[in-house]
Amino acid sequence: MMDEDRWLMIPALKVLGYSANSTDEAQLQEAADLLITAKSSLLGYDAETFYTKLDSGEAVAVHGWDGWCNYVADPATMGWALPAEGSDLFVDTMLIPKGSTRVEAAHQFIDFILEPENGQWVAENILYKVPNKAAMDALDPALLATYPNLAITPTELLAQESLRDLGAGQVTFTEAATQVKAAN
Amino acid sequence: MKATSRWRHGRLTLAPALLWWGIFLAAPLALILGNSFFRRGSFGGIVYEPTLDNFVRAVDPLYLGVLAYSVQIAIITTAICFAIGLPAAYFIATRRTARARNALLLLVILPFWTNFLIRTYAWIVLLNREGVVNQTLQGLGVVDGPLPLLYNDFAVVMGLVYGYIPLMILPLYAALERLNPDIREAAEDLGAHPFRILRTVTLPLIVPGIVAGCVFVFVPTLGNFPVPQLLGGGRRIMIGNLVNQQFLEARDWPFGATLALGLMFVLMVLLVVQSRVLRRNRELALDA
Repeated sequence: MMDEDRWLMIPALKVLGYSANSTDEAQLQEAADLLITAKSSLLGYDAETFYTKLDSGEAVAVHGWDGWCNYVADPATMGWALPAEGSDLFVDTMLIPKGSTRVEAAHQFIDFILEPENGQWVAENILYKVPNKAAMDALDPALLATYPNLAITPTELLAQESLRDLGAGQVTFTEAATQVKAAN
Repeated sequence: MKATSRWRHGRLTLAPALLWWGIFLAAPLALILGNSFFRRGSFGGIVYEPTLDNFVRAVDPLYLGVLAYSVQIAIITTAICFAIGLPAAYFIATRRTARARNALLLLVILPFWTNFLIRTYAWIVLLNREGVVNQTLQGLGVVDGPLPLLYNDFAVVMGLVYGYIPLMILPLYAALERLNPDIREAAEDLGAHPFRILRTVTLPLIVPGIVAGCVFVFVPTLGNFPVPQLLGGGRRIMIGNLVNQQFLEARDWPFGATLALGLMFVLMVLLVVQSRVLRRNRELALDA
């Protein structure tokens, strides 16, 4: 399983029917207890090299980010599934700091990234889905066949819960995740 | 040369070290100490309102448990390093020729030529369920199924012992090498058995080396975080992982600083103990 706080807690929160953004102490405790129970049958926690554990045969199933599933050595031998209980929707975003002195250059860079051919380059080379219809439509169907999770539809994606910053609730959230990681 | 001018030159030669120390040690330490008295803003960052909340949180059984586990791992690691390091250092120090001693010492420090993370990662390749060791053992029919060599406390201790054992061997070697062989010979002439020579002559004389080696191994082990993460599979966390997590995931810099401060406090106590032991040892030597 992944060990970054937010993603460590999501599967348990979702199984229990709670929000991925929960900061409710009782809900988080319930989720932490569930994860501690699950710990005995886990190989380990890893949010960085989980796909190499599939390659080496150490793990038979891993919890991972969809984009990184595409980094396994031989995608043909791997399957992937979106949990029926639900997952999260996470988007890498670009922003311009309030105090930026080069706002115009930042806008130009964002425009550049949003060009369909550049979005297509990202999808083809980093193997992430991009929120750019023209870029996704331009992808070679063979690529989608090789990496089927690139073909997840926007509708399926939007059915998942968006992760929000937990604000002051992050402290409670991290404490629950720490309980899981510290448990014997 | 006059005393004043010598002092001036002395100051000059000290300047680079002081500058380095000031920028990379004193300033970060001051930041850690200062930040531990503030609190996390709602969206990360630091809110500069003085509070002791972090210290109250830090003594929660959850965090004390992590500290206790880290201390336990560090003690076991140090003990194993000593048990392996002492005979090794003794062997090297008692070689007749300088050439042999230097060659053996080179072998001890050779692993340092490669990055620690890469060496740690190599253990995963060796020890995992489908790794070299398990495949060999199964191929030879020694075991039926793969041994659980990775992602447990065993792997963590093994990785730490592997990583830090040179820091035990080198100070032990330095202490043993300085030892006048005539003393051991004299003990032998007086009829002492080898074990008795070791216990009553050699060991007491190399106490400073033993203490230095133990501290050198214990300190980086206690705060280590890549080894429990990689070889321990993240199944248990040590205090270093906790600090790492507070800074990078929870974005709670003040609490991370408080935990780091707690770690430093433990190490400081250890260094005080070390200097006490060394002073006692010197006094005993003078008495004798």
